[in-house]
Amino acid sequence: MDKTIRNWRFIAVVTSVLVAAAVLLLKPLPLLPEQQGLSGAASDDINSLAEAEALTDAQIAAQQAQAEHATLATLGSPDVTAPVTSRPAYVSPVEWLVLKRVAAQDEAPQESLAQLVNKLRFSKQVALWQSYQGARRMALGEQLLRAIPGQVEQRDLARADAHQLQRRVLYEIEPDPVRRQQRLQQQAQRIGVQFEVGEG
Amino acid sequence: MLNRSPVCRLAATALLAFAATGATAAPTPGPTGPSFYDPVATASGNHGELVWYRSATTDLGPDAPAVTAWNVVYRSNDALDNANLVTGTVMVPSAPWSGGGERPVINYAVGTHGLAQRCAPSLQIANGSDYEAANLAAALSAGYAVLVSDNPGYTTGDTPTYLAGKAQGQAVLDLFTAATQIPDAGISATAPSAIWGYSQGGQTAAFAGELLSSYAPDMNVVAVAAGGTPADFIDTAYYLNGSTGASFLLQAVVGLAEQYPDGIPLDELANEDGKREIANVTADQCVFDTLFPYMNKDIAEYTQGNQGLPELLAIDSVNDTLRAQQLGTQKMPVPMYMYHGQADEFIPLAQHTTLKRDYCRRYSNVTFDVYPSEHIVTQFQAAPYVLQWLGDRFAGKGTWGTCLTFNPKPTSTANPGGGNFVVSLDEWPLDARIDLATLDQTVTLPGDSSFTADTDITAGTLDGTLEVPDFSTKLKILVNLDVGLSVVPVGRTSGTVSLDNQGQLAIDGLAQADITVRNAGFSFLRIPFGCRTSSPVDFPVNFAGPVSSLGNGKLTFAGTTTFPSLTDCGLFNSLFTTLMSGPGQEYSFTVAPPAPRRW
Repeated sequence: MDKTIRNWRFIAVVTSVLVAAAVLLLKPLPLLPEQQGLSGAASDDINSLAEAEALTDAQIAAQQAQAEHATLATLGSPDVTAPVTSRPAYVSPVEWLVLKRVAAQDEAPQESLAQLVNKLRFSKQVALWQSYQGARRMALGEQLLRAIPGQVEQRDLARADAHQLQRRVLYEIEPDPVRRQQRLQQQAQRIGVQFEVGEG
Repeated sequence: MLNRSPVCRLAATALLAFAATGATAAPTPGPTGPSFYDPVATASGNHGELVWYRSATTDLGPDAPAVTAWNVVYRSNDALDNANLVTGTVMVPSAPWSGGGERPVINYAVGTHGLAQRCAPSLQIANGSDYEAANLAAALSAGYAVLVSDNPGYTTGDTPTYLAGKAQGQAVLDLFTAATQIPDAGISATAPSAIWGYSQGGQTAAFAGELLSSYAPDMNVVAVAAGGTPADFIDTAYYLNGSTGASFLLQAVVGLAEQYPDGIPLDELANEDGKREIANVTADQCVFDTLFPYMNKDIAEYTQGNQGLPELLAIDSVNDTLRAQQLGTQKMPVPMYMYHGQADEFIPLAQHTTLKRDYCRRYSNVTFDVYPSEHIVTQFQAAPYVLQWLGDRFAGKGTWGTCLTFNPKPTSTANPGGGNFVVSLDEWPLDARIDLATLDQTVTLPGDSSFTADTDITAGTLDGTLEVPDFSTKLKILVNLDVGLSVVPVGRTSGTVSLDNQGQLAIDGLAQADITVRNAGFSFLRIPFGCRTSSPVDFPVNFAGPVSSLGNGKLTFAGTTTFPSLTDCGLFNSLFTTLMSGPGQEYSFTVAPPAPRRW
């Protein structure tokens, strides 16, 4: 009897943990950089051209390297949405200064800033994917496949270029030709490209 | 009725006989249908008398101003001083004349339209197919009334007396007189007018000018503008024979034989091939229908015994007929603007510069401009210059002319005849802009950018190069960031080109260029050498429009392209990719010929 009760308690605890985990994982919370632990250090931010001009080469290089490293940490996370209230870690202080100034000239500066941030992150992910090898490259490739439709939808990436990138990524990720064809077809559909059988 | 029956011809003859009696009648509105071209005997009297008229519609393209227009049938005289009937179009801008005095009138003398009846300018102006529409629209936009004679032989079922200079000149002068008789058209008999024509029209305009004092002494003509003028038919015939413009020689033979049947007895001179081609040309061919089939043909193919041009010109009557078209035997009584394309492949430049000399020797007031390109381009490039020059004359400004000049006499740069029809664009200024999508701003390429190309109309190919000097532009990145850019062409600009029988030009090509960022204005945005687009940017160069666009500044290649990601831009590669790459980059490249030189 005691053993039975202990088993039921164990099952109840495990179930509670799983449910809680599922709720946390599935809940569509707004994914602000701060909540994802992606926010850059506010103390590094620069707010004027004079501050930017005062940076040494070493400081700039370090900040860019730091942002690049942070880009890897965002694998699996979705695009940011407006408003983006603080600098994401994968955006360097100089880049943040530039993006904010460019977005400020737009009729919808908040939406523009979010779009620029996402485009910059995607651009960095592409650059990283091109420079890495092995498992990290595979993970970056999967991330690119996830991000490509959003880039197309935002008109930041031409459909033809997007399709070509999908093909290049899948050629590496999926060694099985049949599976590769299937996935390419799925990916092509996500960006509205007519996929011809036999392509790829 | 375009193919007039013998009965109608008889009626017309009777009309002319009646007219010669000197009886007069007020002009009346004519019918709306084809019978407009078969007037009953309502006119009489002198040349220039309006037989009848009717309201007309015009289609001169989207840039033309609103006009009130009439078709007219009027009396004139042919080159042998026989009375004839000629048709034409009178157009008056709907907008009131905003200048001083009476609204000026442009007597526009048309270039070669082709020998078929359907080629008549009045018909083509009505149906939107007249290849000179751009020039007519430009004159109307300047506020002038514009008169366009169909030239003798059109719409009447006859064979046009093409290039019979005296007949054409008189027809243009008489149209002015006839237009003043249209009720409520607002064209005054004392209105200042000018005569303007190019190619065949240049011949017409020059003839009209030379005839002014004797044939229309009461007209208030203030100036004549004549370009691409065949002034010496012997030289021009040799230039055309076996060359790109051989079709014009064939048409000239037909037209002159119609006016001077004794001078050029076609039945005796033409062989069976010649007779067949004459029938073809007159039956249903307009200028662009004729241009290509007869390109580079030698007239010897069409003559009895395959006589060549020297043998034909050795026949006295033929020689006399051509010499009767000689210009420069009279003083030009009003200031004259002469112009010619230095690379003209149809009408030789040298005989036109000789005409200038002849006029100058007769103390005429002549200004001569040399345009850099070939025949067709020059026709349309010159329009704004001509209108500016005529505008000054209408405004009463004096001109010294260029009879006294220290500039060297121009010599031809035409592509050699006998081969393909190639229109060369030699360092044509390129007016280019690119609208950067992300930054939402326009980048204008430097003013000394240029486009050099050979458009081989025969082969249907375009082959050229872009030249864009390095330049700096302000990009709205940080305040106004001064960014040094280079547009470096990759390979040659190539594609296809065609010119159809309606004078419509089509270009379908591609230019590619790397966009290079050389520097940015702030020290922290370090741009290493070699920062550029990761692959060349495609700029499709596609165009479809009237051939006049080649010369009148409306040859524009516009579209939307994609900038690829940037590469080798150092620490900020991704930033510059974000700001500059992506789809939706709009561009517009307009090429136009270089400005003319005065001689």
